[in-house]
Amino acid sequence: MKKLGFNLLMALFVAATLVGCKKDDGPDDEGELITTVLLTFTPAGGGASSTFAWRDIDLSGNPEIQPISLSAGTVYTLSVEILDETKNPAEDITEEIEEEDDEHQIFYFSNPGSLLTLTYQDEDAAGLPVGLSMRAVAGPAGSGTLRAVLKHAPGIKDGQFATGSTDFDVTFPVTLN
Amino acid sequence: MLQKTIAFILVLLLFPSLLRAEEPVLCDFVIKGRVIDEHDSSPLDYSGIYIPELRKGTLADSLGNFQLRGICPGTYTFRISHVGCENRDTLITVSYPMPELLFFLEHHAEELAAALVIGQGQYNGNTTDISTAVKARDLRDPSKELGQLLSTISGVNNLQTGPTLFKPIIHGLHSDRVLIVNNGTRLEGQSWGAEHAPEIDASSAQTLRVIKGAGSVQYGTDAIGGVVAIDLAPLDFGGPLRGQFGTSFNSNNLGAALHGRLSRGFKIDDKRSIGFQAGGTYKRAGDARAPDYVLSNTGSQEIAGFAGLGYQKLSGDATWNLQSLYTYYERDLGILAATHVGNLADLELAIASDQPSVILPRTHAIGFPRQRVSHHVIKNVLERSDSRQSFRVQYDFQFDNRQEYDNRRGGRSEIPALDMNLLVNHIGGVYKRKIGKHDFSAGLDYYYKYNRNVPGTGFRVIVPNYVSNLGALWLLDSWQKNKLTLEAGLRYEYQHFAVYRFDRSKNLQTPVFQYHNYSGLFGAKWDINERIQWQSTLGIASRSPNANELFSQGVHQSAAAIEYGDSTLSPERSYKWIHQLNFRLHKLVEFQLAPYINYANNFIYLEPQNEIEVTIRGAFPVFAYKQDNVLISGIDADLSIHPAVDWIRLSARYSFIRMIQVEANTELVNTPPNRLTLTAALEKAEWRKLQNLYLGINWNYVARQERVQPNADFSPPPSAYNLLSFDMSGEWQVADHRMGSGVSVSNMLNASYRDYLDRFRYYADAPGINVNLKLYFIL
Repeated sequence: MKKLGFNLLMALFVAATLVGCKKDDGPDDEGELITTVLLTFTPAGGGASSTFAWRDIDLSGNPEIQPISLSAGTVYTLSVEILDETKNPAEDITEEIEEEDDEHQIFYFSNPGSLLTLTYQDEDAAGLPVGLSMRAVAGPAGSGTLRAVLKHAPGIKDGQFATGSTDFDVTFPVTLN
Repeated sequence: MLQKTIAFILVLLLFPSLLRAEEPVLCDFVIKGRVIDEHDSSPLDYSGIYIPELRKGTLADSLGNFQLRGICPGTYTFRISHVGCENRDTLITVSYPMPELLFFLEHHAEELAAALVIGQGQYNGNTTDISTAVKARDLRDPSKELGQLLSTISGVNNLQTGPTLFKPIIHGLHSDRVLIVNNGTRLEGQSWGAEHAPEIDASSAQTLRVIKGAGSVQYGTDAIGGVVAIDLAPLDFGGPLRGQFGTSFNSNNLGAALHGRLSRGFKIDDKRSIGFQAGGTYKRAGDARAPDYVLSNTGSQEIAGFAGLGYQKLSGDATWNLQSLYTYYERDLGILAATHVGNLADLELAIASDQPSVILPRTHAIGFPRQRVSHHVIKNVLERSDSRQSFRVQYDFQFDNRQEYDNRRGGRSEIPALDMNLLVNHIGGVYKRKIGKHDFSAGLDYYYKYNRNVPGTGFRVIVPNYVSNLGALWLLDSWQKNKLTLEAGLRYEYQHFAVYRFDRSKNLQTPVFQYHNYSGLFGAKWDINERIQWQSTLGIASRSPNANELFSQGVHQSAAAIEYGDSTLSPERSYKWIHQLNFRLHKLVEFQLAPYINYANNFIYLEPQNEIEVTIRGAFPVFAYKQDNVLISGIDADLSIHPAVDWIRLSARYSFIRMIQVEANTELVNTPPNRLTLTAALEKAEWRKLQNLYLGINWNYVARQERVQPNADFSPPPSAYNLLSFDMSGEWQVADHRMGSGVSVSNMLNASYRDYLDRFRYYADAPGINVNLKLYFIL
């Protein structure tokens, strides 16, 4: 009995110690990173489109922000692209948002409000806006900021800003000439 | 010839003692007995039975029954003790045949029915420990979590994470500053964070105690706050079948709990016996309810079990003991849906809103975010003891797994966002010896701990992989003369701590840390007279910084903050001095006063940095781990009076604590607010056909924490609150067994309130009214 107990004990001890070998499995690739938000403005009346980036690839908290520069009094279509540029090639997160459009919504805040007037051009199956495709009307010449916030609200999306958690929250300086 | 041989064999079979006629005096008497209340013949459960001449003792079970084995013939003093009773010495001669003993004690109704088990069970405690036990009555409700049970003790609070997660706080300290000893095994995994409750099924415990002094010598140097000891009933070698079954129901979360356990012993022969016990618990609960809304996604499910087997052999005056115990614990629980925030702006929106942002119809389903923990412990003990000394070797193995699931994009929610394993091997030896008036013990420990993050989560790890090797040596001596006991002990630990982590550029870093830690205690216990007892312990404890404190770097999602560790942190040391004065005026007044002071040198804490870091997810406040000297002081007071008759009791319990950062002269965040509890109760050991009748009303007042700095937290401390609760229970005899039942109502007035120590106070109110029904059967 005693001997059996001792053997069992040793077997357990050895087994337990053997499990502990892999200490440096390698870092996990972060699956849900967003490093880059691209806003592309195309004049509705035709003309060359311009793209502005908010980019923080090394996640250092020191982002590279391209100021938005548009023509005053012009109507634009705005499309949004979301990327993870830590991957090579860069991973397109926009597709994930499109697939799960019933859980996501991008909210836009123009400051001052007269700078840009934004209206949603897309909606999910429940008729709630998504915000990947927008119509943007530039006001009179001036400057300010544009803030874009992506909210993730699985099962609870109701079109309200307070609902859900934030996936990105970026602010661009804006100049209208 | 053949007939003669057969006759001889028959004689031998019938009178086997003839074969041993030449052996010396046999020390194999088994003394059985029962401890009973002098007034009403009710059993006095968990009474202590001690023979000073042999330095041998035992503890009665819940029915007052006890057994002492391996006693030599002779005349001895039997000292019977029970809380709230005078000790009683009786001279008894042990000779053949030995009748069952019956001890009558004068007992007056007393709530601390289980408090006298100090130094018993698997927990290897000290003689001068200042400890308090949870009432046996409260242990009968299997739906209660460990933290909820412990907070019935003055000086103990809970660091809550919503209505399901309770982390015990002893005198202001928690997590890896509180040592949890589960059946004599140190519970590991407590450094994983404050939102991680101890993996303990409290319903299988026979005793649950809090040791308020610092400086555990036997289990580790890091018990800066104190120790929680959880013990199963000891194995009953050769004893009869015993068991307990209980169930309870809670109206607030529509939760039910079931618990059952059985124990049985077998005698192989005069000297050898076997003991066996096993038990299990199942709990299921749905969403809790605050007075005005459902607390969505706060359901939980828990499965726990244990099985123990022991073998005992008496040889000469020595007893050999071999025991194995396996315990398992598993819990799935939902985390309040509204707490899933992405950044500081989301958190501020949640704080500004009166109601949580997600309120869904009530359900038992557990959605996201959720936690899943499982914990295995295997313990093997070999022990030899005789009347002078004992030797014990223990090997234990623990495996702890924690998974956290979050609301994730792209169908990844079913992949854990955090998946950690902690594997611990421990081997230890303890030697104890009586030398004159001294009780001397010494021990050695070796711990191997391996913390690994299971790959594939798609997130940066919070606690890095590490391997820790720890060796320890300890000595303890206790000296007793007349009414005074003095005790002194010292423990030294060497820790080799190797970390395997990847920096931002995915380069492997393998820093190694070495720590020398020590703990010590000096204790005194003086039974001044029958009415006054004074205890005092001075404890020194030291704790190495844990992996979080050394290496945090980045967003701590559940806290909506960016946290920075500091790899140059040094171990923190604490010097805690606690006194306890027990005063008892026979049958009228009982008073217990426990003041304490704890000076913590290099105390590690998270300091707000008054800066905001902007990431693509938005802005986060920055916190950094710092060290400062902290002075903790407080007082726990318990007063109980019987105004007219001994079955009416009015009692008050008050706790006051301050935790001050010495240099900055500011109060630490999460310092528990002051509390006062008043109780009016009727207690009758026997009334008509009912036993252990209890009927009580509780008023609980928790003050607002006024002293913490306004910028130290995201929102100011919540207002003071009052809670009213009611509790009624009783037992009755069914044949030879006992049945018990009870009804209790908590938050009777369905008050809306938020508790300062609840991490979810930013998001939602605490649960409202709850009606609890319990029913149990003791075999």
